[in-house]
Amino acid sequence: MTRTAVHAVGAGMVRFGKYPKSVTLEKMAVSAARSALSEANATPQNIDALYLGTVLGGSVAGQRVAAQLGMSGQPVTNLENACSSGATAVRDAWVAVSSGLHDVVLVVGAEKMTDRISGGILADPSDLDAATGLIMAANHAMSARRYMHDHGATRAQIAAVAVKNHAHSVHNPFAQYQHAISLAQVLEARTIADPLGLLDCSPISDGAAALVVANTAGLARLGVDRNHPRILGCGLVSGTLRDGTRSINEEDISRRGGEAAWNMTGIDPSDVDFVEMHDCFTIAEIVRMEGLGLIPRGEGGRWAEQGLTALGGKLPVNPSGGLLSRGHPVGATGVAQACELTWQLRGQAGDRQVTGARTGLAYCKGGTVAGTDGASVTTLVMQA
Amino acid sequence: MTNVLDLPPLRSDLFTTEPFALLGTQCESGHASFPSRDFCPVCYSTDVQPIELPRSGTVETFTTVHQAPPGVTVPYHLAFVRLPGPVVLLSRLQLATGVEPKIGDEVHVVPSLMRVDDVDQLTFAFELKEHA
Repeated sequence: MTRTAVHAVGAGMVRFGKYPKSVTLEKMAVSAARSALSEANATPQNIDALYLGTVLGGSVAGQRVAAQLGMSGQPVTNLENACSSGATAVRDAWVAVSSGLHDVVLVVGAEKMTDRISGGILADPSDLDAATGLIMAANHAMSARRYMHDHGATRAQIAAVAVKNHAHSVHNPFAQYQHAISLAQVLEARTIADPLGLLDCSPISDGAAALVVANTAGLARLGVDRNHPRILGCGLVSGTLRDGTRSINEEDISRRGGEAAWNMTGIDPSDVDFVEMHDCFTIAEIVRMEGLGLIPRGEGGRWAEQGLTALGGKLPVNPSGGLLSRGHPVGATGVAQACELTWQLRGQAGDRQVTGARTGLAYCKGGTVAGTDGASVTTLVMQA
Repeated sequence: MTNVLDLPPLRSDLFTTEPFALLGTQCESGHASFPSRDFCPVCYSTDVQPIELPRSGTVETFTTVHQAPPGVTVPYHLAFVRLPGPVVLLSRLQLATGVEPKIGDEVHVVPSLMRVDDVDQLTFAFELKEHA
């Protein structure tokens, strides 16, 4: 495929959190979309298409949003890939704009969860693992226990991820939580699935995020310059059939997601200046960074404890606060990660700015399927 | 009282009850799969036969779940169990009160009652060998 340069020309979010029933998915999505369109000097009428990611938003959520936003007749595509639904929408928008099918596209991720989810998330009820009771927290708890066993990591090292990400989102006006937490608070929180407690888990959240992407023709139409961060590519892989010889923390799906990104963008892993990582649980940030090859195997816990993944450290991870602290409205998360990359690469991230940020990676993982090592992983690479 | 083995199974393809054993499939190269598949997930051969899986294995990792969505009774124990074959599968872990498992502990498969939407169903679980 011949690909042309694609720029992120507008980013917008509503603050993630818990909103009353009257704050609908459509309202949040329209608000985020108007912010992104405004930054991009675009209107709902002069964009070519909408790609919307949502899990719980119901049938034709994108068209419902388009109707309230003021789009009329343009193509609308709805995408569902569990927690990487929004990231998959970013990918498909990039594919459409880089191929020249469209020149300016709006991407929205939106989710209204707090009025319909409680107690945690199970896989589809038809799945054997779900029938056995494998809530997401349980899967990650078993990952954490095995990680500690194999690498001599401590419970405190895993908890340090939550402390770090909460410290980052103190500076993020769009984060659900904007307060710091202590290591003792994480360790003493109510147990969800041992060894993980409440503060090792990302919250159930409402929210929306939006991104406007454009190719060179699109920049000309909008009358904006080329000094916007470029989307170099976005990998997408699904799980492989488990052959029974794997360990729970092998993270082959993360390795393959990374390979997809490095191969399509030509970026070397050592070029990555910061990462927005799918930290649905503390341990997930550690094992996925290791699976990508960005942190040596077994060292992720120590990196978190020593501040190497904190702002100002060797490789900052989740300057936004991540899912743990920005919040995790599932379909919106991947688009929120892309917004954070955009702001960081523009140097507009305020007190959470990664110094000298030139290349950023956003990793999103969605879903589980029994007999495989996951459902979907996306790896978005952007550059200033 | 009804024998647990007489309850309707959670799924018809997971186990046999005489005697109780997990059912999988295996290709001519010996690659085993659980649950049963109509192809081999390693070499993609469609020449696969049903097999009874080994009844014993070891605990890869485990957890006790204290919070779950409505309708799921807590607490309960889960484990990934490694069976020779090799197959790694997710299972409920049945533990006697006060017993703490360890990674590497030997476990064996047992029939187990699971209540789903107020209906008792037969499924499988593993329990520690020394507490058999």
